[in-house]
Amino acid sequence: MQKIALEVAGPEMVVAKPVTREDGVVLVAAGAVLTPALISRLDAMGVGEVVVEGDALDTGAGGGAEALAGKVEHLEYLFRNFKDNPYMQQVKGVVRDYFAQKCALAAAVQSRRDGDT
Amino acid sequence: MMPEDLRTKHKGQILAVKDLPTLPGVLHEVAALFENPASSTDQIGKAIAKDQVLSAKVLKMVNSPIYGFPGRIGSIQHALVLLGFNVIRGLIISTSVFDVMNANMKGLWEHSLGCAMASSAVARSIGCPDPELYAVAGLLHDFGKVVAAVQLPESRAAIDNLVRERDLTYRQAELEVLGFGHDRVNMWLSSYWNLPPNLKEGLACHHRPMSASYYPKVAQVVHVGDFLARLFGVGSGGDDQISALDDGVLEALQVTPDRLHAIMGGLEREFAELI
Repeated sequence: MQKIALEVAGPEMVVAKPVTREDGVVLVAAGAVLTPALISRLDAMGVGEVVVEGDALDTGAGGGAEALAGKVEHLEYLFRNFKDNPYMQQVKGVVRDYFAQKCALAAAVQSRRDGDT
Repeated sequence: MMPEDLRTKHKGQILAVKDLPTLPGVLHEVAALFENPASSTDQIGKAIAKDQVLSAKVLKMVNSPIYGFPGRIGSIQHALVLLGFNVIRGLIISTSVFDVMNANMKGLWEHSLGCAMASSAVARSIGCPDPELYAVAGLLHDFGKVVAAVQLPESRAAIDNLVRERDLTYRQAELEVLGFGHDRVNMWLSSYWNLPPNLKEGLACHHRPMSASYYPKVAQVVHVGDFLARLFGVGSGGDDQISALDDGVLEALQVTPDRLHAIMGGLEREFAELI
C-alpha cells in the first residue's frame, strides 16, 4: 500500500483506501480500479493524493535512487554523532522514508513526462 | 568542572545586557503600558509606532510567510489585535537582538526564521490554537547565543574553535567554555525582559523539553522546530549537526511518522519560497 500523488497515478492501479472529499464524502471506494477518466475527474475535484495497492512507485531503484543516495549521505553526516542513540536512529529512518518517497515520486513524474513527449 | 566564581562572572557580564546598543527603550515603555489594565491597544500601538524603524521591522515580520495572514497588516494596532501583545513583544526583542545577530553570527538569523516556520508548522499540524506564539518562541530560541557572543566576545572564538576541532555541538562547546549553555542564558534574559512564562519556559527548555514542567508543549514544539530547520539546512545554528531529539518527544506531541512526513512536505515548499 502506498500513498501517491494523483499526478503519477495511472490506469489499472487499485485504490486501497477510500478517496474522500474534504467533508468526508466518499468519492471512490476501496478496491476500485483507476481509469484515465476517473483520474481526471478526481483531479478536477481537487484530490491531490490517492492510496493504492502494492508498490506502485519503486522507492529503491530507478531514476530516484541516485538522488536518494545523495540525501542519505547527507543524513548520515548530520546524524554522525548519534550512532549509539536508538531514538535518533529511529527518527532518522522516518526521515529517510520521507526522502525515499519524494525521490521516487520525482523520478516517476519525470519518466511520465519523458513518456509524454 | 568550571570554578563557580568564573561562571558567576560570565553570568554578570551577559546580564549587563542593557549595554546592548539596539534594545529599544520603547520596549520598557510598552511593557509598562501593558501592565496597566487601563491602557488600550491604541496607546500601546502608538508607543511602538513612535519608533519608526522598529515599527517597520515589526510589520515586516508580521507580514512574513511565518504567520501566513492572507491580507497585508498595515498598522501596529492591527498586528496587536491579531497576534496579541506577547507575540509583538517577542518580535520587538527579536528584531533588535537579531540586528546584532546578523553582524555577529552568520546564518543564525536564517536558522531562527527556519525554526520559527517549522515550530509554527508543527503547532498547526497538532492543532495548537495559537501557532503564532510557537513561531515567536522558535524565532527567539537561540537569542542567548547572540547575547553571549556579543557580551563575551573572547569566549565566542573559543566556542567556535571547540566546535571545529572536536566536532562538538555549539551547546556542548558553550558548556565547556562558559559553564552553561544558551538555553540558560535564554532563561536569564527572559526573566530580565519579563517575557510571559510559557515563552520563557519554551526558550529555557528547548534542548531538554521533556523536563519542562509547566508548558512542556512550547518547549517540545521548538525542540522539534530546531531539529527540522537543521534537517533542511536553513541557515546555521553554529555547528553543522542535527540537534538531538529528546527520547519520546515526537510521541508526546502525537507526531506520527505520517504526520512528520506531511509537516516536512509543507516545510520543504515554504523553505523553497524563502530562498
